[in-house]
Amino acid sequence: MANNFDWLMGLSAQSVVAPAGHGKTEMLARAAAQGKQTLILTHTHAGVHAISARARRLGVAKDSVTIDTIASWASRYAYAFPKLAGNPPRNPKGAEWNQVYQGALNVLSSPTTHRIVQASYERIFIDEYQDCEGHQHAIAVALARILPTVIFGDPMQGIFEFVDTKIGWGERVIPDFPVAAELTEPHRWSGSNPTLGQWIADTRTRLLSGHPIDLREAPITYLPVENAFDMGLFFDGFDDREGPTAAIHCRRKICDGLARASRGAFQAIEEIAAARLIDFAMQWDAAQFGRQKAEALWSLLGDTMARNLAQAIPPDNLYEFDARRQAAWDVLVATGSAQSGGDVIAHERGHPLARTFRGELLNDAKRALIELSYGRNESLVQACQHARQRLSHTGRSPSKRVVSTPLLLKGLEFDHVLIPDAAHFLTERFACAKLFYVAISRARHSLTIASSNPVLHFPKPML
Amino acid sequence: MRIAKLVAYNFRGIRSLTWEPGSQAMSCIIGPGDSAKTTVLDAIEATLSPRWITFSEADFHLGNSLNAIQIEVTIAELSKTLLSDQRFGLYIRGLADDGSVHDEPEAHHDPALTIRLTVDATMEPVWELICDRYPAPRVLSNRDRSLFGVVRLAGEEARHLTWGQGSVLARMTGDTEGAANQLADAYRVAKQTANLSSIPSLVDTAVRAEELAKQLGAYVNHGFGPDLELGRGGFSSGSIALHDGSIPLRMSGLGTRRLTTLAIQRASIKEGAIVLVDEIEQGLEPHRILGAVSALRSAQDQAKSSSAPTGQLLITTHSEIVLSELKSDSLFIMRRSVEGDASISSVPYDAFSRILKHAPRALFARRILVCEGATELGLMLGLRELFRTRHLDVPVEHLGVAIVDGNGAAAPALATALASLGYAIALFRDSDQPLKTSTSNLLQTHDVQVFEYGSLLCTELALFGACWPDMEDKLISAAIASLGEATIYAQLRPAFPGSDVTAPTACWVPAAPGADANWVRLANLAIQFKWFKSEERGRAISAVVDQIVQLGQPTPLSLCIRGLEKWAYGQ
Repeated sequence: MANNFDWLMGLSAQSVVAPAGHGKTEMLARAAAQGKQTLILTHTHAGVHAISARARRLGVAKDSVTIDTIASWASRYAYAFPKLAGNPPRNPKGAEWNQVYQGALNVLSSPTTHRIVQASYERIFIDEYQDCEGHQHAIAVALARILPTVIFGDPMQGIFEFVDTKIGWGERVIPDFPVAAELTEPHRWSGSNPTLGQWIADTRTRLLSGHPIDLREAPITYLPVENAFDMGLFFDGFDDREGPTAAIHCRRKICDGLARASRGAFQAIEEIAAARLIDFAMQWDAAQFGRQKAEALWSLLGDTMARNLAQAIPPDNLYEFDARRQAAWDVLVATGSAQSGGDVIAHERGHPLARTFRGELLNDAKRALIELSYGRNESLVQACQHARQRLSHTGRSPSKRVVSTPLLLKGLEFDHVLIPDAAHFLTERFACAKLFYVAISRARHSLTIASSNPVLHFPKPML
Repeated sequence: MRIAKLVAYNFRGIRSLTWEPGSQAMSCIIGPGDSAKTTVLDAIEATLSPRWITFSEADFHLGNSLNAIQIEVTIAELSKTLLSDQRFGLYIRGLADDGSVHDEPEAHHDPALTIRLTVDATMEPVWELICDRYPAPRVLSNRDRSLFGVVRLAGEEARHLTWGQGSVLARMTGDTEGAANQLADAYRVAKQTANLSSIPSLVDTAVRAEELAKQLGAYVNHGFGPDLELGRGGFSSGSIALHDGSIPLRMSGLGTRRLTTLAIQRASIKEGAIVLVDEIEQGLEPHRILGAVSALRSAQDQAKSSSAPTGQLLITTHSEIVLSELKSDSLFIMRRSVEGDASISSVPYDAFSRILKHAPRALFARRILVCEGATELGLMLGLRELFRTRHLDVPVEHLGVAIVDGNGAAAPALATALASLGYAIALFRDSDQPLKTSTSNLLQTHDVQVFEYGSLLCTELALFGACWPDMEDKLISAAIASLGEATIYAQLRPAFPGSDVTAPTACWVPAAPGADANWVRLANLAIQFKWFKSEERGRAISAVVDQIVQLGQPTPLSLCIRGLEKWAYGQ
């Protein structure tokens, strides 16, 4: 299969099932390089980054492939022909997106648009199709009528079951895009840990058919534990692990707690909307006095860092750090200025007895405060939203060790993956088997699973 | 690509202009000199061609740079590249069947793009794509503009006959693979060996250029090839020039040069080029004009039948030969008011065929005098030479007046047809057969000024009726000069018994009471024996007529001729 994608070029209105790590991204980029004009659509900016980075690495000519999210591609067309699209709202939020999608659908039904699409592209690939929602699917179907369209996805990674508008793979996707092929080669592990790759692939099959998984027989490190907060998982062999490491737990609160318990050795990461950050920004904007702003910031710091940790030998000049930190707080209380808020965060983080475990949140808060102090934004909420928007477009800066949920880590790869108490997956209401599969398939070199139960028996997943 | 609409303001001689050339593949603009035809091509070129154009005050209407130059060109029949959403696919507008442009296209509309060039007092040209759906227009780079596929064939463009930077030959050479590299290679090899015929890519291009040029009727003596032509500025890729045998092509005749340039320019644009040709007949003999125009047209027909993009050919001409190769929907007449408001209108089919049959030349004039018959035509052609002596030696032609033959009974219809195209028309006719009321009404509604003698007078009666006897003698000698002494005397003798017809008419026996006067009898003889009934004979008596008119008696003849003189000089 390596370099010959003729079979793929011949497909139209069909789907390719691509389990995690089976070389789908590589295939997309290489196939695009063969065509003259390929449009690759995916669901997230992270997906766009992943494919663009791969295409760049493979030296695919930049003008021969267009990579975009369905949302942004559809909105380009919807806004280009507003009358036809029924004047969709600008800067859509939440349900307003449906109007944008509907508008794009109207635009795509016009023969003029067919000509434009046909003039622009030769074929269309749509990635991560398991995350497709109803309107996006309608757009895919419309596109498939205009140009050869192949969709890629893995129903086993469709972990957004809790979203109402998500469409069933078997029920909606397959009728419109019959399966043409399933990728079988676990490329991701061929150079690192082929046994692990094979086990993950086998586990996928077992999960699909609802068979139990015995962790003791697996080519992984199994750690019997009482609960998720057994920190042995995190720190045993800490120094042996080179390369990015992720601990994966389904619950955000627990992830934050684990990050705190690890004293910042593992960083918790935030969802794009960053509710905690916006909360803080709203409190800040609503505050009238410096003291109220200081309180808002104090509460944010409480959620993101540990202060005054006990340390065997405190540094000699601790007093100076304390004094400077206090001075920054005094200025904030006195002036309530955004700049002083930023100074407080800098001094708090710089304090030798402090450990930040939600650094992303704190960084964004600091950056937003600075932006606000320069007058680049009207409010802190706006500044924070811009900071998050930037992130969604540029991607997170890599951090060596993270602890987060399958939802936030899907699509990423780590050399080492730690699962604190795998038994917790069984208690998830939605898609528990899929969540487990997504979690374990993030691992490239080693997988360490702690569990209170050596045998995990998931119900058969809904596809 | 095809220009569907042109709107221009304050560009050179044009204060305002709106033109919709229609959907036919070829459009020819004609009109009197100085009606800003070339400015129209310049406007299109300035807006659509990738060249950077330097503007100065002189490019503004009346040199007033306070009123910005604004040219909007809407193009349809878009190439695939233009339609791509990476380019301008999301900026397209809709062109309806009636030629109207809508900002957002509807299902039955043809996709179109509107490009606007604006130049204000800063002299900095700005090219933008107009699309009201976006808050800010999209600025076009020269690379963007090269996608519009505009080719202009104007005067001396020797650079297109070399492989110099940006030349068409360079582009054609690169058609096949790796343009710039090939040329750079060629340059290196050329520098080392100067044996250019060993570089296949150049030779192939030259052979193709030859083939294309021959199709348009260029004369090729030995066959085209690349060769070096070292000039000032040292050696560059521009020194590799197209040669016919060993002679640089730029040394060949104007016609061949132009046809070759045109041929290779057209070939360099894959998808339907817009070709602008100023005075297509330049340097070409009549048969080669016919050949070139019909070759261009058949190339388009061929493209059409193979459903390839046909592109558009916009030409101006001063040659009636070009007209004979055109269909009526391809012909446009340009006018411009003194204030600079220009218009370009199409020619209705029946008017076109009538004019083309009788007086194609007239289409190039501003004001046209239609002469009913050969006598009137000859008379006027003779008189116009005498008129100039009283008008600072300015011939009527300098004032844009054309004198054309109306071919007898067809004359009023021809006059109406021309008038309907916006020309100032006068009709010169004799009055022996009064105009039908319907005809004269038609002439009146079209503002055709009719010059006639009145009172049912034919030219001969009007002429002899205005004569003193000495003038009658001159008319008779004119008749003798054209028909021969013996013939005329033989015709005179029976009509004037008792008179010595060889003597001056003053000596002739006066007519008996009750009988026709001598001058009437002379006029009738002139009618009967067609003394003046041809262009040549009419012309022969023009000097006598002028003399009669100048003598000053207010006769129907002198009133009529004086009126014509005034009209011709626009008084």
